[in-house]
Amino acid sequence: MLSVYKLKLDQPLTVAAGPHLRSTHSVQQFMWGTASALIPIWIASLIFFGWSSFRVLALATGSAVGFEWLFQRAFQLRISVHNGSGFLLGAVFAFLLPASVPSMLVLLGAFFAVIVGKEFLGGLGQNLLHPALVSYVLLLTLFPAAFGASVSAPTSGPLALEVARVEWTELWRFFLGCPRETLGGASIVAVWIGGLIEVVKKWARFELPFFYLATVMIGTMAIGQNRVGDLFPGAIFFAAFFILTDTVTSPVTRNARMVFAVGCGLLTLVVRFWTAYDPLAIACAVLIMNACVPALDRAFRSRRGAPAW
Amino acid sequence: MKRFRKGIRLPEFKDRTLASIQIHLPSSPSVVTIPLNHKANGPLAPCVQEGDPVCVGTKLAEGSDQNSVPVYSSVSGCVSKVCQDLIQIESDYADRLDRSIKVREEIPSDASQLIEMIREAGMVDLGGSGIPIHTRLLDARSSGVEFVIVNGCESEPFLTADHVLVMNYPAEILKGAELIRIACGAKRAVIAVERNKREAAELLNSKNYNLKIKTIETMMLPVRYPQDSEGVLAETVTDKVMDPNSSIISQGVLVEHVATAFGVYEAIYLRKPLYERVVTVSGPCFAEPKNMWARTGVPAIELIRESKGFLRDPDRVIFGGPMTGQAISDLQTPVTMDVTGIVALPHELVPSEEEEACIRCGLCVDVCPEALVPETLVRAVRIHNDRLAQEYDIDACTECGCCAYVCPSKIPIIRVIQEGKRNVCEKTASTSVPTLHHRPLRAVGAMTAGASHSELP
Repeated sequence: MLSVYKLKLDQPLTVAAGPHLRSTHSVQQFMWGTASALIPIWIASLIFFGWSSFRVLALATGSAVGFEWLFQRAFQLRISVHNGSGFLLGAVFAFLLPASVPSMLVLLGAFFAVIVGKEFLGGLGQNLLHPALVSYVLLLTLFPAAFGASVSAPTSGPLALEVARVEWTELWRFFLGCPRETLGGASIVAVWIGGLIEVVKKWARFELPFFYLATVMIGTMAIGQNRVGDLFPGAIFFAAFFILTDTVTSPVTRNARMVFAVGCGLLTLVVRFWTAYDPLAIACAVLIMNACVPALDRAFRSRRGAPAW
Repeated sequence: MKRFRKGIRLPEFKDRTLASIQIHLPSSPSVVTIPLNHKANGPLAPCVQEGDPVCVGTKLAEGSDQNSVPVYSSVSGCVSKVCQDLIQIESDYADRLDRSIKVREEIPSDASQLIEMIREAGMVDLGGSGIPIHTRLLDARSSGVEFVIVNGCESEPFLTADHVLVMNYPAEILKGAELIRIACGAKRAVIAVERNKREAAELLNSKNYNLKIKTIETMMLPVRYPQDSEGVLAETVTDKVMDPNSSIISQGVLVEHVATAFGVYEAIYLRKPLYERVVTVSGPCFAEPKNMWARTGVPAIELIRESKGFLRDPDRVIFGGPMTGQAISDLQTPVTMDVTGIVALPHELVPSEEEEACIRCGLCVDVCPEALVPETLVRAVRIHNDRLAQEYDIDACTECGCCAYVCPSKIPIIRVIQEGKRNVCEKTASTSVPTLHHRPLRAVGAMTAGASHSELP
């Protein structure tokens, strides 16, 4: 033997179950990546709403992260602020709000979303309902005036589908412009760019927004409301790309995801067209379907014996 | 051929050991330790005593029933220790061959005679499961298989032992495959390799041009892990959907490994019992990774010395590939015949132990080749709900490791599922554990991970 490098080891070998290789995927990358897909919408909302949108966003994200840290600190849980789930939740929640919302309500909403919607239920991955929507529904019910909406005057709510009744001639302005009051509905083009980034980077499943939007559009046309405002209601795109695609509250198998998306679309239509409860149309639909996720996962689980390709 | 769409693309890391296709022949080890109750083969009764002189290929222990195979000495020297579960031999470095190893003049064409010879030679599955081959051949014959698939896929990263074996001994592998085909009475044999081993497939084809074995063809499959697992291979090659509830053999397909085909060739043509195999010693920690012949029972450290030792401290040393292999705690651990490689991984390649919450991203469901739902299985095992785990077919898991590989939360899914299988197995142990070789091979992981063979009826 000419030369031999080390044969004695300085430290003991680790014995652990396989696999001994891991991909580079991480929760952190996943959450911060999704948050970065929100950047185009952020820019659009800054353009159309000015600094008031910055106020809402900074307040919501900052307080969401802060509440999460405080809660985990207070109950001596492992601090998981760095994984970005709190930040993402705050940002998504902020994009549901109008630019004119009072700061106190943003703080209260972030508290509801992070503490009630997520941490009380066991933290990341344990919540059945989308925390941002839970908080949104709570705020809207408690303080309808702050949203410039009330249950009795439903058509002016931020998630209402009926506000932007624009004609085809105004199409261009509608896409780029500012038809909606919510930050997330500032520009449909921006939402599409963000959504495409998400789908291409595989942070979100393609089938969720696709089947949801298809159901809503086909349904709207079938009912006969084919004006542009009905077909492309601003906030619906934000919901399709950034709320439905929340992995924790959507099913894990592909078949169940398709059913989930179609169910969300149908419920949106039902709430939108046959009840007077417009402001909550999308929120209600998604929350109801969220509650069905365990059942969907069970009913449409992938089965053995199905071909392995 | 159908395309296997689930599973994952893995980094290959095969370039360093493929720089040369030469198989290194290590010097004789000073001492070998041969386990007598290893995995599926056993228990064995020793037929030598302490102090006996032995040669390379001398029988050391005999199987106690028809399902186990004898083991043979891999060095010449003197038996230094015989006990219940191992035999130790001190080498005299002479490597004298036993007189029984000589070329067989007449090759039998009778299947049962071939199977008896294969059993006598101590052949076990060289792909990793370590099951005696003759039990599988007998099974295949009784259920009338039509297809023999010789598995040369080797989709695990780092491992190149099969690749270089095919490059060095193509004609032998073709003859061995033909012997396996005759022994189990199949009509056709397919040698399946992945596309990154195109040269191996070409070489097999050109050798077969001369040998003219009409029943054998080669097939190139896409590079995808776990293409080399039995179920996936049977489905992609035969283009049929396999019933997951019965064994692959009972559905007319026998999957054997190329290294097994080579071993069968040697056993029949040369009367050489199984005492050595090709092993890849690789990984970023080794100074000179290479493929080498490893004798049964040689301590891992001897093979590591042959590849010039470690450049730096590895975090884990693994017997087998990094996806399904087992981490060893001691470098003196003897290499057995089911070890396909020795891989030393530095800490930067090894998963961190820090686990995050499951975000239900569904990646594990996307990649599972058995179409299971690992997310639900992990939840069921962690809340000790065995009924739910069984409803979601926990026993069908082949422990290929795809789910744990892609998991962004770094959940040790395989470890949890192994634990769950053990719990389920304990509850049903008294009622319905099938005998060893009638059990679908897919579930073998459950037994190697959980109850050892001797606890089974």
